[in-house]
Order: sequence, then C-alpha cells, then structure tokens
Amino acid sequence: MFELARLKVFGFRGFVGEQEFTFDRPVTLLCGENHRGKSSTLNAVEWCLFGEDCVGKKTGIRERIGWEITNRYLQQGEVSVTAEFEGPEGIYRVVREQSVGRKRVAQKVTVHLPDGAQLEDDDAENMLFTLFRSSFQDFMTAVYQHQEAIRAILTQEPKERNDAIDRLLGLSPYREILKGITGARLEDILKGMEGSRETLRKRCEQAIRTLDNLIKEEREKAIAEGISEETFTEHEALNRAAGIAKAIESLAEDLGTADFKATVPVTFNEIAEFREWVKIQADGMWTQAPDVLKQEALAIEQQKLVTLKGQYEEAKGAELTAQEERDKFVKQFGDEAALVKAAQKEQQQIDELDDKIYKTNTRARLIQEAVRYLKEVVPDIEGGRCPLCGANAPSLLSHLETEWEQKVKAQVEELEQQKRECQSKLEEFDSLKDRLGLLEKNLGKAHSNCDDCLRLVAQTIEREFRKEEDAQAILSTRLEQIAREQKSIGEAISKKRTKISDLYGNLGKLRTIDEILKYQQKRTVIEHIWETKEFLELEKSLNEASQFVEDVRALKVDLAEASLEEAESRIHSAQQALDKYFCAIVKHPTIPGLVMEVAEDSRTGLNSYSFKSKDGTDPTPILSQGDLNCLALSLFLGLSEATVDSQRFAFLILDDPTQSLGPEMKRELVSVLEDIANRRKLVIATPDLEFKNLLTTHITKIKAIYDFTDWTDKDGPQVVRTTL
Amino acid sequence: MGYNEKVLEKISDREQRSDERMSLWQSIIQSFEQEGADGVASELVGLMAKIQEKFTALLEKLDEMA
Repeated sequence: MFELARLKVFGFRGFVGEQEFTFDRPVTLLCGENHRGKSSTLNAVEWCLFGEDCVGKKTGIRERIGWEITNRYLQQGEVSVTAEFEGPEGIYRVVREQSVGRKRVAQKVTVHLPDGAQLEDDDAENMLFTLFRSSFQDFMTAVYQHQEAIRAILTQEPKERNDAIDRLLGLSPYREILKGITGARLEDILKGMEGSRETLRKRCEQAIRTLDNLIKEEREKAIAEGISEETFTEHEALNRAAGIAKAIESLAEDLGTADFKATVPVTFNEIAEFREWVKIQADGMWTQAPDVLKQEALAIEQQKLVTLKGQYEEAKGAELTAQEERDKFVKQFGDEAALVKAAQKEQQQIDELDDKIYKTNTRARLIQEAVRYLKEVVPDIEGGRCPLCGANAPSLLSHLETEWEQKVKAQVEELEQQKRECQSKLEEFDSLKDRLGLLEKNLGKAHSNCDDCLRLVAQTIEREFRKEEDAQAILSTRLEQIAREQKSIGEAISKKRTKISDLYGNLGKLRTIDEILKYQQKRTVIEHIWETKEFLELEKSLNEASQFVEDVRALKVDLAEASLEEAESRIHSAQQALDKYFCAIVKHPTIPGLVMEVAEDSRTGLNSYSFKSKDGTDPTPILSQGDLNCLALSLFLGLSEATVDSQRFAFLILDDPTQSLGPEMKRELVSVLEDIANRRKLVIATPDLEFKNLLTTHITKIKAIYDFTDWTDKDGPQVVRTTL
Repeated sequence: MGYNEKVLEKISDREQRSDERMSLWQSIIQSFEQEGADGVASELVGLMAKIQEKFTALLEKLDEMA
C-alpha cells in the first residue's frame, strides 16, 4: 500500500511558482473559494502518475479536452510535479516534467526508488504500473472522485447519466470506442457499395434490352436493303470489304487517279476505319475528277448567265417603257423648247396686261379725285358735256360718278380676268416642263441600267460588245452551247457516277452489317460481364468490405459484452457498499435500499443503467439532485470499498463532493468519511465552508488544512497550512 | 485486467478470424489513444475507404464496359 506523502508543484495549471504540500496527517483538507487552485493541486497528483493518459477525449471527461498543463503566465523553466509515496520499502519519488511552451513537447518522467535507483521515461512508466497496478481509469474510479463525475450524473437525461456512470465505473474507454465505431457508419458505406453494384446490374440488363432492340431494327433494315441474314458474319463483312476495295481501285482508274491502292481490312475491328477511309477517298477522287470539275464549272456559268440574261431583259424592258412614255408626252405637249417658248409668250401677255391695268387704274384714280374735288368746289354744278363719253348730262357730277363706276371699273376687272387666265396657262406650262424632266430622268436611268447589265454580261462571257450586236441573242447562244457541253459531259461521267453510287451503296450495306455485328459483340461483352476479371475483383472488394464490416461488428459485440461484464462485476462488488453508503447519506423515507442494474442497449451496444428500490419500485422519479449526487458518491465509495484489498493506493481523494447536498446529507457524508478515515488517508477539497466546519469538528483524526486564500495570475495560489 | 486485454480475450475466445480482428482492434486502440472516439471513427472510415477506392475504380471500369 502506498500513502501519498508529499507533493511539489511548479508551473502546473494554476500554479506559477513552486508550492509544496505535505500529507502527514490522516486527513488533509484543501479549502477555499472556487478558482483558487484546489483542483489543480489534486490534478497534479494524477498528471504526475499518468501523464498524457489523463488528458484529452479518451478520458471521457469533457473538461479534459484541450486541457492546458503549463501555466499561462509561466515565463521560464519547466513544468514539474513531484509526488512522494510512502511504500513498504520507503519513499518512492515520481517526477514528471514538461518544457514550457504552447505546444506539448516530450515529457520526462523519473522514478526514484528507495534503494537510490533512478528510472526514466519508458522504464519509469513501466515501474509506475508495476508499483501501483493502476490505470488512469482505475484511479479515477476508486481513488480520485472527480467533481466532474458528480456534475455529470446530476442529469435526468438517461444517455448522459449512463455516460457518467460508465465513467464512474471506469468504463469510459469501452463507451468511447463503441461511440467511435457507431460514428463511422460503416454499414451505410457498405450499403452504398452494394447499391452501386445493384445499379451496375440493372444498367447491364437495360443495355442488353436496348441492344436487342437495335439489333432487331438493323436486321430488319438490312433485310429490306436486300442483305440476306446469312451474311451477318464477320467473314462475310470482310469479303464485302475486299469487294469495296476492288471497286474503289477501279473507280480511281476511271477518274484518272494514278497508282491508287486500297488496303483490305484483315480483321473485323478494322472495318469501321476502312469504311471511313473509303468514303473520304471516293469523295476526294470524285470532286477532283476533270469531268466533274468541268461539269461543275459549266453549271456555275450557266446559273450566272441565266441570272444575267434575266436582269438584262428586265433592264431592256424598263428602258423601252421609259422611251415610249417620254415620246408620247412630247408628241402630246411638245418638247422642252416648245414648252419654254409657249411659257415665254404667256409671260409677255401678262406683262402687257399689267401695263394696261396700271394705266386704267391711274385714269380711274384721276377721275375719282376730280369728282371728289368738284363736289367740294362746285357741288351744284350745272349739266354739261361729259369729258369722258362726250354725252350731255343734266347733272354732270352724278353722270361722271356713274360713268366711272360702270365703265372704268368694268374695264379693269376684264383686264384682271385676262391676266389670271394667262397666269394659269403659264403654270400649266411649268408643270409640263417638270413632267418632261422627270420622264427624261427615268429614261436616262433605264439607259444606265441597261449599260451596267451589258457590262456585267461582257465581263462574264469575257468579250466586248459592239453597238450593233444584240446581247440577248449572244447570251442565248452561249447558254445553248453550255447545255450542249453539259449533255456531252453528263453522258461521259454517267458510268462513273453509277460506279460511285454502287460503291456508296455497298459501303452503306457494309455499315449496316458492321453495326449489327458490333451491337452483337457489345451484347456478348455485357452478357458475360459477370465473368470478367474486373467483376470478380469487384465482388472480392465487396466481400472484403462486407467482411471488414462484419469484423468491426463482431468487435463491437465483444466490446459491448466486455463492457457489460465489467459493469456487472463492478456493480456486484460495489453493490453492498453502494447500498450501505446511499442509505447512510440519503436516509430517504421511501427508499429502503438501492439496487443498481445494468443491461446492454441493443441498438448502440452501450451500457444502460437503472436503479431499483429494494421494495421493487422505481426510485428514479423521486430522486432529487442531492440524491443523485449521493448516488454518485456512494458508487465511488462503494467501488473504492470493493477494491480495497487489491488497491495499492492507501488514500482517497475527493474533489468538491457536496454539490447539491443539504445540511443533513453533509452531516451523514462526514459520518461515512469518519468511518473511511479509519482505514485510509483522506484528501478532500471543498469550497463549502459548512462542510469544512463539519469535517474539522466531526472527523476525529488529526488533520492538516491548506487554506487557499487567494489566487493571482502572477503568483498563483496563496496557500496557508494549519494543523488540527 | 484493462479493457484492451478484456476485448483481446473475447476475440481470442471466438477463434473465428481472431488474427485479423486482433490486428483491427490494435488499430482501433491506437487511434482511440491518440484522438478518442473521433479517432476511432476516422480510422475505421479510412480503412473502409481503402477498400472502397479499389471498388470504385473497378466499378468505373465495368461501367465503361457496359
């Protein structure tokens, strides 16, 4: 059995400088408010013993993920924790060190034995296990009651609570590995692979159906083209290809391509390429043959001349129409000179009429002035002879007025009328001149169009036209000549055309046979895909995957069984003490005693815990937070009690055990601890002043009390030791 | 007896494919000790992915044939 004797901490978690603790009393209390370094002190013991095993996810403690070993404010030196244990042979000193830095570097562990021997690293780790026979999980199950373990059990969520109880029982690794295995979702991956294989099978079946249809269609087409079914063989296809090779050589000779040789395909797979080659060669030879080139050139010229002839005839027609319209106009109204002369004549008449009107108006104004004057000067003038008409008038003034109005005015109006008529004629002549101009312009344009067409014709047939020549007749003659030449060339190449048509026809038939055979070939490949090396390999991979999943499943079963057996064994060994401690601390009026049971969750393989009252009822609905805390403590103390004979550590560590406990429960817990203190040293950390007082007054063993009075980032915890 | 030994004993008792399963268990344990439950999951997914990669490559070949 090993007693914890001394602890020296430097730079570990909450500690900046060096702090030493001596556990020289049966009971050691670490007291003070939260965040003063109590838990860091207890953590230092487990880190010293177990190093990396107490850090990270594998611990099953959420708070240990990203756990910082090195004090954040430590400037230099190394983290160092020294724990001394008093064993049967004397003092065993364990020193664990780690360089300061954010990144975790290699740790150094040294074990000093009572005989003065010193072991390091792996030897030291092995010695620790030989001496204490305890893993970190064992230690946290039966030696060190973590406050996190209590906190986690204070939940009503079964999954969380099962997790916490597994941790209390030291079964977290089982649980975590099972979670990891379930989280890999290997069955889903396997299902996906099986699904892919099934999809391939369906695709192959579909492809065979499609190919069957295509083969049927092509066969029907081939038979309709006159190809007999007997020729749907590779041998026949190669024979046909040989025939086509001869045919294209003969065509090449006819078309004047010298030394043309076709390579006959030897295997069926060469046929598609051969077909393509023959097609390209035949097209090329045909388009380059002199007869074909000449025929094409004549066709182009013919098309051009027909178009030009049409254009020329249209231009000529337009010219004739314009000429006729212009001539008809001149005949009706005269030419431009006649129209100008007539207009000048009208203008002259207008000028003369203007003169007459002027004079008549002058005379009229004179008479009007004279009559007005006479009326003013001699209003009562006697009758007399009229100076205008020579007649005798009894009243000369009124006679003159009448004479002016009736004769002179009428004369002016008549002149005005004559002038208007002349102006109208003049306007008519101007309009006729404009119309004639327009007709002349149209005629000019028609002449110009005709000339342009003629130039194009001349360019096309490459000769000049003399004035006396009839372009239309020349064009017609040329077109007739082209038709004759075309007929002659057509006759010359018709044999060759038949030959190339036959060649294309045979190529088409070869293509049909080739397609049918290829479809059949493809169908055979797909039909036998299941026998290919690739498919057999695929099946092998799938079996491998299936076997792998089966192996993992078997391991999961082993793991679940081992976890369940371990849980059952631990519960069994701790059951009596669990019941004893639970009843002693809780003193529940309706729960005469507690029985803990475990079963495997068939879906996850994880342990599922349940509690029964000794009277057979389910106590869970009536368990308070305090009761659950007591349950966790009872389980820890029960496991500790159950392992007392095999346990190498002769001390228990309790960290904040009174969470959610009422005053009565605290008193009962102290009674239990008083009993345990008779057999083991106790190290208890608590922020609970009431609990501290109960411990100091009711534990009858002598005690050392470390009061954590303050904590600063520069200096770490301020600790004061007293003894009672 | 720790959990490792317990499971190894179970594997050994079953006899069937014990060598393969012991080797697989060692891989699981190693990844668990390094990265916890997530490490176990990613180790298993990684091992499965190796088989799956080969399977996918073969499936692609067969797809081309079909």
